Amino acid sequence: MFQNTPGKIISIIALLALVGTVSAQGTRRASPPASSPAAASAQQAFERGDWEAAVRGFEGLVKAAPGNADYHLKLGVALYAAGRPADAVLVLRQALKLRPGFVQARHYLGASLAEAGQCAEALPLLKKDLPQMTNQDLRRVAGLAGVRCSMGANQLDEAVDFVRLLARDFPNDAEVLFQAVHVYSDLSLRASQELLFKAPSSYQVRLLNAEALETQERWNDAAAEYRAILATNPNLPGIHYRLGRLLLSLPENAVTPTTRDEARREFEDELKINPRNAGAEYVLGELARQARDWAQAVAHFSNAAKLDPAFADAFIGLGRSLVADRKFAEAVAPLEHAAKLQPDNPATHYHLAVAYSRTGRKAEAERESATFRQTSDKARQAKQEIQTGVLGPQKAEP
Amino acid sequence: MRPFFILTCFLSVSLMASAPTAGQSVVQFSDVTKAAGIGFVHLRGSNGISTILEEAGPGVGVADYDNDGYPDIYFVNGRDLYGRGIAARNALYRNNGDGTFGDVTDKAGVPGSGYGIGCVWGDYDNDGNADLYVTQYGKNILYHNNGDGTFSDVTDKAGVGATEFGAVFHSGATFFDYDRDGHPDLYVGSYVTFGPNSRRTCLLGSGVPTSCPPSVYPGTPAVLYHNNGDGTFTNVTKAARIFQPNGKNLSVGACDYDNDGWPDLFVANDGVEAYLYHNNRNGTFTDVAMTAGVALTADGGTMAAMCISHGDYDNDGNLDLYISDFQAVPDRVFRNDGKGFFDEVSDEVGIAEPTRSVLSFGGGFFDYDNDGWLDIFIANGHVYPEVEQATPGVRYKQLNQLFHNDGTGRFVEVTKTSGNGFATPRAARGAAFADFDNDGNVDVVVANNNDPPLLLRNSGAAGHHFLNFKLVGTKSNHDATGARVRVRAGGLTQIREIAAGGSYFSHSDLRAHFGLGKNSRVESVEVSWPSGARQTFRNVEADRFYLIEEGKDQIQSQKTGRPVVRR
Repeated sequence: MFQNTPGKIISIIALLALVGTVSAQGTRRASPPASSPAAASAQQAFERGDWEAAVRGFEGLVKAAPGNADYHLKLGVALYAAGRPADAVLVLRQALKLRPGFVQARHYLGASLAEAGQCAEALPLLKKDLPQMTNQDLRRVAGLAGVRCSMGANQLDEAVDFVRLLARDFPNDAEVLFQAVHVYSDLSLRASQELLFKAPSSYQVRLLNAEALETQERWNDAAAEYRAILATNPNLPGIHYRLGRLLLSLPENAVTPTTRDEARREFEDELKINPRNAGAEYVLGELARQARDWAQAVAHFSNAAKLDPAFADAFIGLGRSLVADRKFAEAVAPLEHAAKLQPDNPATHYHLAVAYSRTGRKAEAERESATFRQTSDKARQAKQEIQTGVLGPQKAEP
Repeated sequence: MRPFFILTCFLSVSLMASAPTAGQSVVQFSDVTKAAGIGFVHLRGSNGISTILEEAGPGVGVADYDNDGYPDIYFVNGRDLYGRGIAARNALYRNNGDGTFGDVTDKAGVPGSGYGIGCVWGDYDNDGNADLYVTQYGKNILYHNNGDGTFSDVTDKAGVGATEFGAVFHSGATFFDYDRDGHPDLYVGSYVTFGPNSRRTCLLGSGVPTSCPPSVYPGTPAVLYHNNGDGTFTNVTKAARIFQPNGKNLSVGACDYDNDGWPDLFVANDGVEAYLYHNNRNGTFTDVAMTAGVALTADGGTMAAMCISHGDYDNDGNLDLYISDFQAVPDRVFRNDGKGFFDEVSDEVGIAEPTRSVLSFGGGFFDYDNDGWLDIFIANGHVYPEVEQATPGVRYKQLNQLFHNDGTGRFVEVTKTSGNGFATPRAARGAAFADFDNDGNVDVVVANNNDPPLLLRNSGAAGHHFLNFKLVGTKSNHDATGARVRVRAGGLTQIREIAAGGSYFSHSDLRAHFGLGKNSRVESVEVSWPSGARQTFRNVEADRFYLIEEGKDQIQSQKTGRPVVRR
C-alpha cells in the first residue's frame, strides 16, 4: 500500500518498520501507554495510511506526553506522509532535541527539509544519512529529494553523487533514470558553457558546435565546422571520421554515390591519421559490402575485428560478407565469435545458420535457426512492449 | 479481323522497324480494359481511414471455366462492412473470344458471400471443369463448376471454409497434389488477427493516422486440406507438421524446388520469416526456409513478401523465386543453386534499385517477348492512402513495372517504353498472366484496390515464336498441377511447372507458355507428370497451342477458336 504524494512514495512497510523501534525506546516521563485507546487509535490510523487521522491522533499524544520522542517521530512521519513537510520539520527537530541520537528522526528530518525546500539544511543531512538508510523506500525518496535540492542549489557534484547512488540501488526505476537524464544533461550544458567562456577559440568549441548542429539536422553547417577544424588541425584524430559519418547520415534522398565516395575518402583519411580507428575500418567495410565489393568488405571488417576483438558488428559484417561471397566455411568462425559477443542478436544466428547449412553442418544449422527464432521473438516482444508503453494498448477507435 | 486487333497489329508493325536498345521495349502493352467491356470496379468499402483488411485486396483469377479455349477472369470484390447499403459482389467475366468479355456472374452464381480477398482455380474433383476457391474475410467459399456455366457452393460439403483454427482474415491459396494421389489438395493461407475490437488506425510519419501495419496484430494459422477424392477434404495441417500459429501468410506457391518430383510449398509471410515447406514424401513437410536461405533477405531482415512467383529465369533447370517487397526496400530475386539452397541475387540481377521507390504487390515471371527468357512484371501500389501526407515524394497510386530479362542473368527495366498500359498509376494488388486472345503473346490482368482492373494486351515481339501447352492429367490430377514441361530449342532448355495460385492472391492461366525466339521448331518437349510418368515429343512445330494428355502418344491441338498465328 502506497501513499502517493508529489515526488515521493512512502510504503506502509517502511513506516511499519518504525513500529518495532518505538516500544524499544525509553521516554523522559510517563506517557499514555501504547495500549491506551488513544495510542491504539493513532497507531491503527498510522498503519492503514490514514495520515490525517494519524496526525490528529499523534498530535493528541504529543500534547499529552511532550517528552515522548517516539510520538514526535510518528507525528513527524505522519505529517511528512500527509504532504506537510514544513510541519514535519518542526516536530522532527523536537524529536531530535528529546533524543539527540534518534537516527530515524534525523532521516525523516532530512527528507522533510528537502521536501519543504529548505535545501541548504537538508543537503548535509541527506548526504550523511543516505548511505546509512537501510529502508529502501525512504532511501529512494530521500535520494530523489537530494537530487532536486542539489540541482536547485546548483551543487552539481552533489547531484551526481545522489544520482550515482540511486542508479546503483534502483537501476530500473523510471523516476531515477529520468532524474539522471536531467542531471547529466544539465552537467553537460554547464560544462559546454564553461568551455565556451574559457576557451572560445579552441577547436573543441567548434566540435561541440558541430555536434549540436548535427542534432538539429543542419548537416551543411555541421560539415562546415568539421572542415574548419581540419583546416587548422589537419591531423586531429576523429574529425574525418565524424565528417564521414555525417555524410552517411544525410536524408535518404541526399545520399548519392558522390556522397558515398566522399564519405569513403573521409574514413580513409581518418585511417591515415589514426590507423587504429576500428570504427572507420568498420564503416569502410559496410560501404564496400553495400557496393557488393566483397574482397574490400572482408579486408576492412577483418581489420576492424583485429583492432577490437570485442567489436561484435565487425565480426558480423565479416561473416555476412563471406556468406554473400559464398565463402561459407570461412564465415563460420567470425559469426561464431559474434554470436558469443552478442548472443541476443537474431541476425548473427541467421547468418550462422546459413553458413552451417552450406557447409553441411545440418544439426548446427538447425540449432542456429531455432536460436534465431527465439531471439527474434524476444526482440519483437521487447519492441511491442515499448510500442505499447508509448502508444498505449491496442484498442478500438471510433 | 476485329478493329482493335487491326489497330494493335498496326502498332506492332510500326514498332517492328526499330531495333531495341537497352532499356527500350518494342513490345507494347495496351490498356484494353474498357474496350474489352470490363466494367468491374473494386470496392474497398472503407469508412474514413481504411483498415488493414480494406487495403489488402484484391486478387484476380484466370481460368477457362467453360472449356471454350479462352481464359476467363474472376475478379474478387470487397464489401460494405458498415451497413451503408452499398451493394458489391465478385465478378466472373467470360471471354467471348473476340477481344471482349461479358459479366456472367449472376448466371454462374459466383458472387462471393463476404469481403473478398483472393481466389484460386482448380479442378478439385478431376471432372474436367475448373472449380473456384475464393478466400474471404470470414468463411471461404468453394464453388463447384457444374459444367454448364453454373457453379454450386459446396464449401460445407467439402469442409474447406478454413475457419477451424479461428482465423478469419484469409489470404492466398493454392491447389497442389502434395501426396501425388491424383487429387489436388488445398493450402489456404491466413493473415493476421483482425476483428471488431482490434486497433484500426496507427500513426504514420509525424502523426498522420492511417491503417496499421501487420506488426500490430498477432498472426494466425493457415490450413492444409487433403483431398479425399470424394468431394470432401480433411484438415491435415497438424498431421502434416505445418501448423504455424503465428504466421502472417500473404501469398503461397507450390513448386518442386529441389527437383525430387514432389511439390514443395513456399509461403510468404508479412514481416515474419518465410516458410519453405519441403515435402518429405510421407504426408509431412519440414520447414527448411532458414537453411535453404529464403526465410529472410540476404541482410537477415524479414520481407513484406506480397508476391511469390516461381520461374527458371536463368534457364539452368532450377526454379528460382521472385518475391515482392515494401516501399524503400528492394524486391527480391532468389536464385536456386540446384543443391537445395537459394542465394538472394536482387542486386546482381538489377531488380533491387528500381524497386526501392515502389511498394510491390502481385506479378511475377513471364516471357512477354517470347525470346525464351523469363521477364518480370510487377504490380505496384502503396497500402496507406495517407502516405503522401506523411512522406512527400511517395505516392499511394503507383505505376506498374516491367523488366526485360536480357539473357545474361540481368533484368533491365523497360516500363517507360512499354506502352500506355504502364501510364496510369493505381493501387495495384493482384496480377495474373494469360494469353487471353490466343495470339501467342502473354497478356496481363491487374486487380486494383478501389478502382477498375487493368487488362493489358501484349502486342508481342515480331519474329519471335512460341509454344503453348495445355496439360491434362489422367492418372495425375486433371489440371496437371505439379507437372513439369521441358522444352529444348536452339541450344536453350526451358522449364515450366504447372502451378495454381501464386502472384498476390491470384491465379494465372495454367497453360505452359514458352517463348522460342527465332526458333520455329523445337527439338524436344518432355513432360514429367506428378504420377511419375514421362512423355517426350520431338521435332515440334512452333506457334501452336497444343494439348498434351497424360498417357497419349500424340500431341494434339487445343481448342482455341482462332487460326494459328504464323510468324
